[in-house]
Amino acid sequence: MTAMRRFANVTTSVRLARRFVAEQLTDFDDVTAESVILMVSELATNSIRHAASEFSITVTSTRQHLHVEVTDYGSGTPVARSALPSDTTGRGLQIIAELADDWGVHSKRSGTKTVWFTVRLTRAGETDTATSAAVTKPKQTRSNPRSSYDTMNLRYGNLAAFNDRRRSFVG
Amino acid sequence: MDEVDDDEHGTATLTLEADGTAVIAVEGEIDLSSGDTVSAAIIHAVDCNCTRLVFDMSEVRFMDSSGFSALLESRTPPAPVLLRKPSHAVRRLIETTGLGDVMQIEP
Repeated sequence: MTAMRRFANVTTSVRLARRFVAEQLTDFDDVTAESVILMVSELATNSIRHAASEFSITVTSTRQHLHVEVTDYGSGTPVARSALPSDTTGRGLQIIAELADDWGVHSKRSGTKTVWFTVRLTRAGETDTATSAAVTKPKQTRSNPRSSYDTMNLRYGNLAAFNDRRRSFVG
Repeated sequence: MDEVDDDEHGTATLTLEADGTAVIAVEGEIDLSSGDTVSAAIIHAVDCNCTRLVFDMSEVRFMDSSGFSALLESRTPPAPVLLRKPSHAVRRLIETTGLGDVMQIEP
Protein backbone atom coordinates (compact mmCIF):
# COMPACT_ATOMS: atom_id res chain seq x y z
CA MET A 1 0.00 0.00 0.00
CA THR A 2 1.33 3.43 -0.91
CA ALA A 3 -0.10 6.84 -0.04
CA MET A 4 1.33 10.21 -1.09
CA ARG A 5 0.39 13.74 -0.21
CA ARG A 6 1.86 17.22 -0.74
CA PHE A 7 2.02 19.93 1.89
CA ALA A 8 2.43 23.69 1.64
CA ASN A 9 5.40 25.59 3.03
CA VAL A 10 3.62 26.76 6.18
CA THR A 11 4.26 25.75 9.77
CA THR A 12 0.80 24.26 10.22
CA SER A 13 1.73 21.65 7.59
CA VAL A 14 3.75 19.87 10.26
CA ARG A 15 0.58 18.98 12.13
CA LEU A 16 -1.22 18.02 8.92
CA ALA A 17 1.70 15.78 8.01
CA ARG A 18 1.33 13.99 11.35
CA ARG A 19 -2.41 13.55 10.73
CA PHE A 20 -1.79 12.16 7.26
CA VAL A 21 0.72 9.60 8.45
CA ALA A 22 -1.40 8.66 11.48
CA GLU A 23 -4.20 7.79 9.06
CA GLN A 24 -1.89 5.26 7.42
CA LEU A 25 -0.98 3.64 10.74
CA THR A 26 -4.36 2.75 12.17
CA ASP A 27 -3.66 -0.98 12.47
CA PHE A 28 -0.13 -0.68 13.83
CA ASP A 29 0.90 -0.87 17.46
CA ASP A 30 1.03 2.36 19.46
CA VAL A 31 4.78 2.40 20.01
CA THR A 32 5.47 2.10 16.29
CA ALA A 33 2.84 4.68 15.41
CA GLU A 34 4.17 7.16 17.96
CA SER A 35 7.71 6.75 16.67
CA VAL A 36 6.70 7.18 13.04
CA ILE A 37 4.57 10.24 13.81
CA LEU A 38 7.42 11.85 15.74
CA MET A 39 9.89 11.17 12.93
CA VAL A 40 7.52 12.60 10.31
CA SER A 41 7.05 15.68 12.46
CA GLU A 42 10.82 16.18 12.59
CA LEU A 43 11.28 15.75 8.83
CA ALA A 44 8.34 18.01 7.95
CA THR A 45 9.81 20.61 10.29
CA ASN A 46 13.17 20.37 8.53
CA SER A 47 11.54 20.86 5.12
CA ILE A 48 9.92 24.08 6.26
CA ARG A 49 12.59 25.40 8.56
CA HIS A 50 15.74 24.52 6.62
CA ALA A 51 14.64 24.01 3.03
CA ALA A 52 11.84 26.64 3.22
CA SER A 53 10.02 24.42 0.79
CA GLU A 54 6.76 22.70 0.16
CA PHE A 55 7.16 18.98 0.66
CA SER A 56 5.55 15.66 -0.08
CA ILE A 57 5.27 12.55 2.02
CA THR A 58 5.05 9.03 0.67
CA VAL A 59 4.15 6.17 2.98
CA THR A 60 4.62 2.61 1.73
CA SER A 61 3.69 -0.29 3.94
CA THR A 62 4.24 -3.97 3.43
CA ARG A 63 3.41 -6.73 5.84
CA GLN A 64 6.72 -6.33 7.62
CA HIS A 65 7.94 -2.81 6.93
CA LEU A 66 6.87 0.78 6.76
CA HIS A 67 8.87 3.06 4.48
CA VAL A 68 8.39 6.82 4.64
CA GLU A 69 9.88 9.43 2.31
CA VAL A 70 9.77 13.19 2.82
CA THR A 71 10.78 15.10 -0.30
CA ASP A 72 11.39 18.84 -0.59
CA TYR A 73 13.19 21.28 -2.88
CA GLY A 74 15.96 22.22 -0.49
CA SER A 75 19.62 22.05 -1.37
CA GLY A 76 22.34 20.64 0.84
CA THR A 77 22.53 17.30 2.53
CA PRO A 78 21.05 17.09 5.99
CA VAL A 79 22.96 14.78 8.29
CA ALA A 80 22.42 13.96 11.93
CA ARG A 81 24.72 15.52 14.46
CA SER A 82 25.22 14.69 18.09
CA ALA A 83 23.64 17.63 19.84
CA LEU A 84 25.17 18.44 23.19
CA PRO A 85 22.89 18.68 26.23
CA SER A 86 23.48 22.44 26.12
CA ASP A 87 22.32 22.75 22.50
CA THR A 88 18.79 23.98 22.08
CA THR A 89 18.42 22.68 18.51
CA GLY A 90 19.79 20.06 16.14
CA ARG A 91 18.01 16.95 17.40
CA GLY A 92 15.65 16.24 14.51
CA LEU A 93 17.75 13.76 12.56
CA GLN A 94 19.24 12.44 15.78
CA ILE A 95 15.71 11.32 16.64
CA ILE A 96 15.37 9.62 13.23
CA ALA A 97 18.68 7.83 13.75
CA GLU A 98 17.51 6.67 17.18
CA LEU A 99 14.04 5.44 16.22
CA ALA A 100 14.32 4.21 12.63
CA ASP A 101 15.68 0.81 11.67
CA ASP A 102 17.27 2.41 8.63
CA TRP A 103 17.30 5.88 7.12
CA GLY A 104 19.12 8.03 4.62
CA VAL A 105 19.09 10.96 2.24
CA HIS A 106 19.24 11.22 -1.52
CA SER A 107 19.16 14.16 -3.88
CA LYS A 108 18.11 14.26 -7.50
CA ARG A 109 19.38 16.44 -10.32
CA SER A 110 15.91 17.85 -10.61
CA GLY A 111 16.60 19.65 -7.34
CA THR A 112 14.60 17.56 -4.94
CA LYS A 113 15.95 16.08 -1.74
CA THR A 114 14.43 13.06 -0.06
CA VAL A 115 14.97 11.94 3.51
CA TRP A 116 13.62 8.43 4.05
CA PHE A 117 13.33 6.01 6.91
CA THR A 118 12.16 2.44 7.39
CA VAL A 119 10.77 0.71 10.46
CA ARG A 120 10.01 -2.93 10.97
CA LEU A 121 6.41 -3.44 11.87
CA THR A 122 4.54 -5.36 14.45
CA ARG A 123 0.90 -4.99 13.58
CA ALA A 124 -1.54 -4.98 16.45
CA GLY A 125 -2.29 -8.56 17.48
CA GLU A 126 0.60 -10.09 15.58
CA THR A 127 4.09 -11.14 16.46
CA ASP A 128 6.96 -9.82 14.41
CA THR A 129 7.65 -12.38 11.70
CA ALA A 130 9.67 -10.08 9.49
CA THR A 131 12.15 -11.76 7.23
CA SER A 132 14.80 -9.80 5.43
CA ALA A 133 14.29 -11.82 2.26
CA ALA A 134 10.99 -10.05 1.66
CA VAL A 135 12.58 -6.64 1.67
CA THR A 136 14.40 -4.79 -1.06
CA LYS A 137 16.73 -2.39 0.62
CA PRO A 138 16.58 1.16 -0.66
CA LYS A 139 19.54 2.05 -2.86
CA GLN A 140 20.20 5.41 -1.29
CA THR A 141 23.37 5.99 0.63
CA ARG A 142 23.08 6.11 4.34
CA SER A 143 24.01 9.33 6.02
CA ASN A 144 26.97 9.58 8.30
CA PRO A 145 25.49 10.36 11.71
CA ARG A 146 28.79 11.80 12.92
CA SER A 147 28.89 14.64 10.41
CA SER A 148 27.90 18.16 11.24
CA TYR A 149 24.74 19.88 10.18
CA ASP A 150 26.55 23.07 9.37
CA THR A 151 24.63 24.10 6.28
CA MET A 152 21.37 24.20 8.13
CA ASN A 153 21.69 26.12 11.33
CA LEU A 154 18.47 27.19 12.92
CA ARG A 155 17.61 30.77 13.63
CA TYR A 156 15.36 32.21 16.23
CA GLY A 157 14.29 35.33 14.38
CA ASN A 158 12.32 37.68 16.54
CA LEU A 159 13.08 35.73 19.69
CA ALA A 160 16.77 36.57 19.54
CA ALA A 161 16.10 39.97 21.07
CA PHE A 162 14.84 38.31 24.21
CA ASN A 163 17.74 35.94 24.73
CA ASP A 164 19.73 38.22 27.01
CA ARG A 165 16.82 38.73 29.32
CA ARG A 166 16.12 35.04 29.42
CA ARG A 167 19.75 34.20 30.14
CA SER A 168 19.56 36.37 33.23
CA PHE A 169 16.70 34.25 34.47
CA VAL A 170 17.56 32.11 37.47
CA GLY A 171 15.97 28.77 36.70
CA MET B 1 -5.25 22.81 2.16
CA ASP B 2 -6.97 21.19 5.08
CA GLU B 3 -8.14 23.39 7.88
CA VAL B 4 -6.34 22.93 11.16
CA ASP B 5 -8.67 22.67 14.09
CA ASP B 6 -7.96 25.49 16.55
CA ASP B 7 -8.71 23.20 19.46
CA GLU B 8 -5.67 21.14 18.55
CA HIS B 9 -3.20 24.01 18.72
CA GLY B 10 -0.67 23.94 21.48
CA THR B 11 -1.23 26.47 24.23
CA ALA B 12 0.86 27.78 27.11
CA THR B 13 -0.68 29.38 30.18
CA LEU B 14 1.40 31.27 32.74
CA THR B 15 0.41 31.21 36.42
CA LEU B 16 2.27 32.72 39.36
CA GLU B 17 2.20 30.73 42.56
CA ALA B 18 2.42 32.26 46.05
CA ASP B 19 5.98 31.04 46.62
CA GLY B 20 7.22 32.96 43.59
CA THR B 21 7.18 29.99 41.22
CA ALA B 22 6.04 30.71 37.68
CA VAL B 23 4.18 27.74 36.22
CA ILE B 24 3.70 27.49 32.46
CA ALA B 25 1.03 24.91 31.70
CA VAL B 26 1.73 23.54 28.23
CA GLU B 27 -1.14 21.77 26.50
CA GLY B 28 -1.95 20.10 23.21
CA GLU B 29 0.52 19.57 20.38
CA ILE B 30 3.79 21.47 20.61
CA ASP B 31 5.71 21.70 17.36
CA LEU B 32 7.09 24.27 14.91
CA SER B 33 3.78 26.11 14.70
CA SER B 34 3.14 26.28 18.44
CA GLY B 35 6.66 26.49 19.91
CA ASP B 36 6.49 30.28 19.77
CA THR B 37 3.47 30.16 22.06
CA VAL B 38 5.64 28.52 24.70
CA SER B 39 8.44 31.01 24.02
CA ALA B 40 6.06 33.93 24.50
CA ALA B 41 4.94 32.53 27.86
CA ILE B 42 8.59 32.17 28.89
CA ILE B 43 9.22 35.81 28.04
CA HIS B 44 6.30 36.85 30.25
CA ALA B 45 7.59 34.62 33.04
CA VAL B 46 10.96 36.39 32.91
CA ASP B 47 9.19 39.72 33.22
CA CYS B 48 7.46 38.52 36.38
CA ASN B 49 10.69 38.34 38.42
CA CYS B 50 9.68 34.94 39.72
CA THR B 51 12.11 32.84 41.70
CA ARG B 52 11.87 29.76 39.50
CA LEU B 53 10.11 28.44 36.43
CA VAL B 54 8.30 25.11 36.11
CA PHE B 55 6.58 23.66 33.05
CA ASP B 56 3.42 21.67 33.74
CA MET B 57 3.54 19.07 30.95
CA SER B 58 0.63 16.87 32.03
CA GLU B 59 -1.60 17.89 29.10
CA VAL B 60 0.92 17.67 26.28
CA ARG B 61 -0.46 15.23 23.71
CA PHE B 62 2.45 15.55 21.30
CA MET B 63 5.84 17.24 21.34
CA ASP B 64 8.76 17.12 18.92
CA SER B 65 12.25 18.61 19.06
CA SER B 66 10.90 22.06 18.09
CA GLY B 67 8.89 22.01 21.29
CA PHE B 68 11.94 20.96 23.26
CA SER B 69 13.91 23.80 21.71
CA ALA B 70 11.43 26.28 23.13
CA LEU B 71 11.82 24.80 26.62
CA LEU B 72 15.61 24.62 26.38
CA GLU B 73 15.77 28.32 25.46
CA SER B 74 14.44 29.14 28.92
CA ARG B 75 17.36 27.46 30.58
CA THR B 76 20.46 28.98 32.14
CA PRO B 77 22.99 26.12 32.04
CA PRO B 78 23.80 24.17 34.11
CA ALA B 79 20.37 24.59 35.70
CA PRO B 80 17.91 22.01 34.33
CA VAL B 81 14.49 22.69 32.84
CA LEU B 82 11.98 21.75 35.54
CA LEU B 83 8.97 19.73 34.44
CA ARG B 84 5.81 18.94 36.39
CA LYS B 85 3.85 15.75 35.63
CA PRO B 86 5.30 15.07 32.15
CA SER B 87 2.85 13.20 29.93
CA HIS B 88 3.67 9.97 28.11
CA ALA B 89 4.61 11.90 24.95
CA VAL B 90 7.02 14.12 26.86
CA ARG B 91 8.63 11.25 28.76
CA ARG B 92 9.13 9.34 25.53
CA LEU B 93 10.80 12.33 23.86
CA ILE B 94 13.13 12.76 26.85
CA GLU B 95 14.12 9.10 26.54
CA THR B 96 14.63 9.31 22.79
CA THR B 97 16.78 12.43 22.96
CA GLY B 98 18.69 11.36 26.07
CA LEU B 99 17.96 14.68 27.73
CA GLY B 100 17.10 13.28 31.15
CA ASP B 101 19.80 15.34 32.85
CA VAL B 102 18.59 18.57 31.27
CA MET B 103 14.84 17.98 31.49
CA GLN B 104 14.21 17.09 35.11
CA ILE B 105 11.00 16.32 36.91
CA GLU B 106 10.31 18.85 39.63
CA PRO B 107 11.47 17.58 43.03
